[in-house]
Amino acid sequence: MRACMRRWTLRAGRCVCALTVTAASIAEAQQSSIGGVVTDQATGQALEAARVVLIGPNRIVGTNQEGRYQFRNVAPGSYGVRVLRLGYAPVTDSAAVAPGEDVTLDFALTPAPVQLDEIVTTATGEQRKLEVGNVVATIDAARVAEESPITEFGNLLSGRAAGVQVQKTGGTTGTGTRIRIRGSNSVSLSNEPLYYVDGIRMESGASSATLDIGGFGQGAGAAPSRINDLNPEDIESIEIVKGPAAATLYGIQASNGVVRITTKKGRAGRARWNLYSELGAVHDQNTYPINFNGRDSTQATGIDEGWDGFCTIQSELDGSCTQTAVTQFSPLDDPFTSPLKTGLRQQYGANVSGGTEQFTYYLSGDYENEDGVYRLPQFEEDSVASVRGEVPAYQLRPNTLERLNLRANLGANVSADADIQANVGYTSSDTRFVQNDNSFETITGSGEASGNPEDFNRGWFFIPAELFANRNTQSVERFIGGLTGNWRPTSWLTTRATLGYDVTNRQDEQLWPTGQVADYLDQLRGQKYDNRFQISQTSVDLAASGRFKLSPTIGSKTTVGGQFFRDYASGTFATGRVLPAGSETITGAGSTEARDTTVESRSIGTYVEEELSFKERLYLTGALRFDDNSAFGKDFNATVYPKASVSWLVSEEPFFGRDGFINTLRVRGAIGASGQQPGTTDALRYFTPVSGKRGGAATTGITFGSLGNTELKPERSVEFEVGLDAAFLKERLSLELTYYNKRTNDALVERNVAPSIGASESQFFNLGEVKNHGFEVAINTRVIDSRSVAWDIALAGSVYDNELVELGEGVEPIIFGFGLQRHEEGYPLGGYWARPITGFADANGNGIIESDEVTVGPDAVFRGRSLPNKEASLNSALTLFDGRVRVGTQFDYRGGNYIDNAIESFRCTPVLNCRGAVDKTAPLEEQAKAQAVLHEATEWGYYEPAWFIKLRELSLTFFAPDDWARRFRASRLSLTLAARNLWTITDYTGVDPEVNAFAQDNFATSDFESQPQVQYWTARLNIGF
Amino acid sequence: MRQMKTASMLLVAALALSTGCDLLDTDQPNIVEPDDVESEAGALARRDGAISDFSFAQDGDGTLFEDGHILLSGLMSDEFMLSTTPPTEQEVDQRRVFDNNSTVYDMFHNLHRARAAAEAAAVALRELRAEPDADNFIGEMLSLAGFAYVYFGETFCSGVPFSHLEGDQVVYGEPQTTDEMFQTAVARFDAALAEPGVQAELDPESETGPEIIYLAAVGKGRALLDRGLFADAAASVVDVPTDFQYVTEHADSPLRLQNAIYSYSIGWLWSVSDLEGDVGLPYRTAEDPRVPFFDEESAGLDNTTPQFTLLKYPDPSASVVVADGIEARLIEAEALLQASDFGGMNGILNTLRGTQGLDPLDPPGTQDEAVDQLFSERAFWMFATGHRLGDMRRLIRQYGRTADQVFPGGVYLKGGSYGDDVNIPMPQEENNNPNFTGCIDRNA
Repeated sequence: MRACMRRWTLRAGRCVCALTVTAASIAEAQQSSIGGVVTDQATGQALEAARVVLIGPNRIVGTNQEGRYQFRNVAPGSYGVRVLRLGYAPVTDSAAVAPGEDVTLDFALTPAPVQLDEIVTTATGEQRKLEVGNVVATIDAARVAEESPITEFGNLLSGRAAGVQVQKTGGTTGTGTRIRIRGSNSVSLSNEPLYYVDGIRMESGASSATLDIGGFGQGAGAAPSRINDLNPEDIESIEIVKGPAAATLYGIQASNGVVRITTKKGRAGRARWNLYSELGAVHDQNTYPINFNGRDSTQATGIDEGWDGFCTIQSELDGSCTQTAVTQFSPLDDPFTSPLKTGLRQQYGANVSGGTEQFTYYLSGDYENEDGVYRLPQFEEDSVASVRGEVPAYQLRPNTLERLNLRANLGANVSADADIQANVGYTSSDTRFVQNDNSFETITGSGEASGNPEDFNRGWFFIPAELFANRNTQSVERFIGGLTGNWRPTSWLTTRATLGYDVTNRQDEQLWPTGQVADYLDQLRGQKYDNRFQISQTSVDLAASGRFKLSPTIGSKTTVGGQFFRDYASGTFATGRVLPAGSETITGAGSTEARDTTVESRSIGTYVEEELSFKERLYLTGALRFDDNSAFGKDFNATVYPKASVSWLVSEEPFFGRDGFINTLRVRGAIGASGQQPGTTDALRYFTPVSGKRGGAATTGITFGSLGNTELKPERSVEFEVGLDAAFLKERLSLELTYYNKRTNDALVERNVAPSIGASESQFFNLGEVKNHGFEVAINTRVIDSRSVAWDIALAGSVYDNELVELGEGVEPIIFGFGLQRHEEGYPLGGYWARPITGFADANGNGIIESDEVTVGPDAVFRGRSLPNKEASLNSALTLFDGRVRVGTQFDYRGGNYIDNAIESFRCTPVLNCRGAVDKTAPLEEQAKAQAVLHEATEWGYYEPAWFIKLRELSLTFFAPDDWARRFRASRLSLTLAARNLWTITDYTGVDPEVNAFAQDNFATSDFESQPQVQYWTARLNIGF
Repeated sequence: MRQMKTASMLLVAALALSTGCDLLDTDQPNIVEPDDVESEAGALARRDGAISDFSFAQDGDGTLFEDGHILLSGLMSDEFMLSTTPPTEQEVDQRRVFDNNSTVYDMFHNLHRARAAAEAAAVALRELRAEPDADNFIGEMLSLAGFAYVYFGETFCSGVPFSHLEGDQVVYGEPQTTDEMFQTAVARFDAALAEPGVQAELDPESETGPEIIYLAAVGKGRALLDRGLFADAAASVVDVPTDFQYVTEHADSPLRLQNAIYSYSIGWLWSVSDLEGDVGLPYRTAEDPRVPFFDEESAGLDNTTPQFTLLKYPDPSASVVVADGIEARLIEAEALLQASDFGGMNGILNTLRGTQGLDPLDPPGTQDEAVDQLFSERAFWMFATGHRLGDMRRLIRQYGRTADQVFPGGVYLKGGSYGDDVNIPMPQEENNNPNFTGCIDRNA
């Protein structure tokens, strides 16, 4: 097999070389050219980065630093040329080209507040957005990163595109992000979108850690997401393809949408340097729940007496004590005991770009260092220092991130007809985590779910010094490299070949130094875990497009292409228990353990797409994609995904009066299918190796691994969307409105297997059907547009409904998340269920709700969805003083869902330090909820509406006058003051409705010992040379 | 000419994608495919795996993720108090178990895995080995399967189904009543005893001696005791020497092989009870060396329950008795109790106590005293071996005690009161078995 791969790789490599060499020979036969300069009509300044479209062949080039563009090798004839640039109205002109003639066509653009037309990248290449039959959300990442409080890639996506939900699952530095586009479609498979960076598939694993740092489900609560390895500073733009209707050509894993990331490239011109420096603070602004402790002063107190002096409402009702006092304390909030201190964030970077018409470059380097909000309290720092002489850095600041990013993007026009672009990114990072989200050693749990009174351990269960001595680190070395060649052998044919390789070397290391950590299980004797992984994605993408004029009014573009992807992950797990004092290595451990894992998946697909255009205003597209994957059952061959779309530029029709209320209007519709593949071994029946012992000797045996299903085929999602894009009021207001309806058929359901079979817990079947439908709206407008003041507002929002239409005949509801969440027919996926509290009343008038004064229904009923189905964001940019000052804000709303306030439930039972279980003056409803969970084990009372509005971003940027910049020999200078997560409005009684102890789990959601979101305050200086 | 070059380039690209190689072939070294173990070595690997599965199901492992049968049944009985926090474990300790309890699911599933693995290994050993009767392996597998049926019958409510695989097909089992489960267990033990390889243990030149014969005999005796066939039970174990032991074996590493009863104790998750719920036995105050414990003078991980750490299993590699000669003697003693020979019963108990240097017990004067004495001795001798819940149910079923007299009741330490469960309901996931009807009977 490997030999086969080598042969294949060599052949592909030869192909690319041949393309290049042949391009050079054909380049000799150049034809005519069209070129010119694009300027600002008002100022006359050259405009770089404008996109110039040669209509007909649909060739697209960008302007260089002098605003120049050129189309070479143009066949004689008449052409339209359209220029698009952000902030300016599109302009179209035409030119007739004679054989051998070089035509000059200059453009002067006028500013426009909003813009519907731009260039987007589709699976078949670059294209005008208005020609595409589906909505594509575009984010100007370069600008956002420069002027907003962006600390990681996920921030770029958050609140900037309708229908895209970004949930950072905790406030710990390094915590990952759960992302959903148009809701969740799959019952049992991943609902995360696919990511492409510069055309190559990118590893984007959620919950990417094997560290034992707390949390439930698929991964540790604070586990990182690999998408955050990307440096936001290097990203030019992000396009979000939202569902199967648009993502068909991305193949077998694209049903959850596709995020296309384009990094910055060089443009012809002098070298341009950009330097930036950012300093900031990470601050915990949250208020944590108070620990209530009832005391009976008539009984002995203290740990040594077996906690006899403590007295809850119920224990008094039981007659075992009489409450004489209730103490209130939170070690997380108390300034003396709290380990939540302000952390320092710093980031420094530089990039340079430029080049010639033949060669362009973009080079960058970025260093980032962030201390999370955890720091050893002073009294503990003193205590540790008195014993050890000095406090180790890892114990003083246990949650840190250090990251280095390097990038080199090089482009070469090897001939008039061919170009090559090489993009290479390198990331090196070290992240230290604290434990949170469920374990006995969580810092938040030790503070809020301990039940400890103030006078024992200063209110802590395990003290921070013990918890912070536990070292949890993840080191990542990542290389993402891609090589793209474009060759235009004729005026009608363009070809593209992309090779990509994304490899991550990850080391998860965990050390409990002997004698320094909490006395829990056997950890005090020292343990070390050292897990090392190599995760890679190889992608090959080949495509060729031919354009023809079928008649004077009808154009045709035919594209054929193929892709190959290989996902490969291998890892070793090494453990050492019982370490000699001072040892930090597994070598010499009292007992050791090792295992390994290897997972490989491959997929291959081909497609053909036909696009017809009528008078450059009506575009019809149809396509077929054929896919196969190594994960399917042996009885499956390949699958076919069709798509079709239409885009009608109504405002281009002669009958449309563009000078009226509506200036631009297009209607669009698309329908398409896409898939989702099962796991690598889901189709297979197999055993797994297992260790044993018999007769005093070690044995190795096999145990049942999985039932498998040889008939597995991909889950298939079919979506149609319709919508319109319009610009009003002389292009001052734009509207994008979309309705979509998506059905996932043959849903791969990981159904529970009757445990009496004695086999695996579950088995995959193509059984179910899931429906998602909803509306998305995006409105952009310039409210004020004067010379000195401009105010732009962008509103994006969506609402959708999700329903599990069918789970499969005879399949019992799938219950997960500690029995609290269900996939049940007729209800949203992953909803919260529990036996309801049907009433409560203080019947005996004693001011206390007793167990028989709460009534609970007999059967679990649906409480609400666990994932938001409504979201909206309001981004505002107010520009003042002739553009010298820009104030940006982002408000982020999410709602329609519930969250399980599991930490409060847990504090009520079994911890017994919540107000409802301890304080007789607690509101009756709070007591009723505590009684219901204590006596009836129902979580109902702790499911709470999770809607919130957050002031997510606030920034102020000052653009210094040119003469200020010149004093530093710079061409531009700006200072940005920004803050993140400033203010929250919510009905949730817990700390933060946005967190999740299940990390980036598919559906399971819970607020349990989680670190809430924290605030970022940053000051950033940008200097351009 | 140019078009030809173009076409040739496209052809190269197409060829690159359509080579004769199968680009979708992958290696999956994590797994063992069934075809690879259709051999004698494969059958032996299944046997070793079945033993490992049985040990895991009975004792749990060092990962602390899934509670074994001994830990969970001991929690529902009067042996242990829960000194940690998971609500699903508290349901068991508090005798109020719901069918969506994930901890119970794990035990139910793991016991079935152990049972199915042992039964399948027995078949594989018979079909794939050149000389299947050359050793006692088949009998050992059938015996372990028999113990799994005993555990189901003693722990869960009546109505447990037993399904199995036939080739690629799932054959869903019909529910078995509690007595039917013990009958099936007896059938497995009888089958084990009838195995030629097991009978060969009686050969004086046998390497193992009658190890599996004794194992099956004690297992059969236990199942017959559960059925109320006391004399038959005693007859089954009569040849088993008092010093016989069959154990599950553990090791420091890997975690899968660690003794979880040790881990849960040393981790302050499980605490030794004393007079739990007023009717429990005085495991601590008796200061009996058979239940060694340490008073941590602190609360357990729940910060509420006083922590008394069991020391019976002193390290993670400590073995756990599945069946031994002491149990054989206790079975014989119970047969004497049933025959109202209280003196004979007392004599056996005191002989056993003498082996530990314990003072002899006074002969009981009444039937009730005799029952108390016998069951107390059973509880202390077989503490934390997975016998106590079955015994408590037998006290109700066979000796006319009420649940209130046997099971902990009244105010629960962490608030609220004990429930009424005397056995554990089956997990709701079993509803995926079309033959499943739920618990037939929740009584003892």
